[in-house]
Amino acid sequence: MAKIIHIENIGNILKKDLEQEIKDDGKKVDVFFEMFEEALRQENQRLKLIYEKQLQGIKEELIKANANIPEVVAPVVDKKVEEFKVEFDGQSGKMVTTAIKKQIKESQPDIIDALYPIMGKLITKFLQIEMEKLSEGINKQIETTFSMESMKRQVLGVFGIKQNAQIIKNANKPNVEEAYVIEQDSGMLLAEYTNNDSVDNDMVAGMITAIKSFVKDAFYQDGELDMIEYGTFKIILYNARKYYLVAALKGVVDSTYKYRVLDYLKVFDENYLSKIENQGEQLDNKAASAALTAHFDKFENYNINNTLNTLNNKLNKIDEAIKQKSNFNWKFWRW
Amino acid sequence: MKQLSKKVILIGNFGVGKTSLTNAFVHKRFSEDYLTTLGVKIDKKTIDIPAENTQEEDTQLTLLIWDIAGEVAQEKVNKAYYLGSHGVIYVFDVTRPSTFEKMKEDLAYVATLLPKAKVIIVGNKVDLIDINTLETDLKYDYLSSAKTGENVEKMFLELSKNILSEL
Repeated sequence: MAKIIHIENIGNILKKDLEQEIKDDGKKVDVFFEMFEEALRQENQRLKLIYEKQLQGIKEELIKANANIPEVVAPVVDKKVEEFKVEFDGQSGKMVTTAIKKQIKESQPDIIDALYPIMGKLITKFLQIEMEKLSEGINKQIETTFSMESMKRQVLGVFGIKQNAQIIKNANKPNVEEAYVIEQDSGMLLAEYTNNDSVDNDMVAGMITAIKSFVKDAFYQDGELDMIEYGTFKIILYNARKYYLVAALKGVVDSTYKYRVLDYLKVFDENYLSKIENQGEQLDNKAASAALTAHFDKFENYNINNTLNTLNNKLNKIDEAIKQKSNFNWKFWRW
Repeated sequence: MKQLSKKVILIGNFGVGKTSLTNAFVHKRFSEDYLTTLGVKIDKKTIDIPAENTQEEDTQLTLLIWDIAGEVAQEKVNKAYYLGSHGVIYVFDVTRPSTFEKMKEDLAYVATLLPKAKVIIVGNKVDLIDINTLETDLKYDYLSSAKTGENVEKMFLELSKNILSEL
């Protein structure tokens, strides 16, 4: 029991000592900070005196160089301006970005209204170009499918054009919307074939002529404009001496179709316009329109026949190649 | 009724009111953006012209009106815009002498390009001045005002009749 009391006493003594020690340490810390503050104050005072002396020196120099103040000040001003630029970029850039972000967030419906028609046109144009590329690809596939190389590789793949590719191609089938015969100089419409009554063909003919003249005047002094693209329309032009022929095409127009239409315009020129010119007759607008309409009513047949002819030619070439192969001297080959 | 189409051009210095005169005459027209882009804007108007005597047919004449921007000066306007025109309306501004100072040279130039075309000279913006203050030796066929519509129909009608008389 007594032993226990003794230990308690020792504990109390130690506790008191420890508390005293902490108090003393706290005082020491306070003293340290007071000294540190005093040192800083003194250092500040010292620096202040140094800068004041330097400024005084600069002032005196400036007064002495009174006549040359602009020269002395100029570098300082330049430096300040440069510093301002850097600071301005950093600070104002952030502010402007924030303001723009805020404005965009608050005006989203207005921005959508403004951008929607532009985006729509861009998307339509993009899709049309992509479809044209796809269509070109399909045509190339048809050609390679009927080549000898392809025949060697896959006999069953002769008609290996994917069905979905064919469906896409047919869905965007090109067609001739309008065709005109226009007088070269005046831009007057002489004959028309139309699938679209909402267009004023007289004015369109005039504007196409103006564009044609403008392009020739500005860019092609020696050449002629042969195609105008507007949105999803392709306007093909064929020059026929004192007239020129125009076909406005809609849909996915690949180069094969374009050149086929161009050939077809040439056929009209040879079969109709040239004959009238050779006979020294004046073009009768009504008769010419009727002839142009009859001509373009048959364009689909012309297009299909041309496609079939192309395929026939390919098949004939394949046939000839197979015949040549059947005449091969196998005896010679063995050696 | 006989149906015909003819090309007419409006020429004259900048700001004389060619476009305003066309707008006052036609109702169906293309956007004026083309004028600044291509330097030309085309409008159309069909007018009925009764025959001068009973033996002749009435005519339905479609005028394709090419409103040509800028000046008549040879180097400034695409010559092709003039070609094939049957009629010319030369417009000047009665309030600005600078717009009719070169009229003689301009008309001579037009005559070299279009020797057979019928020409009408029009002094526009007549609503802005007192007619009596106009120079006495100034030559014109009509004084017009696109603002009030004064003489606008008349000058187009006369030009149309002149064109038809040559056919």
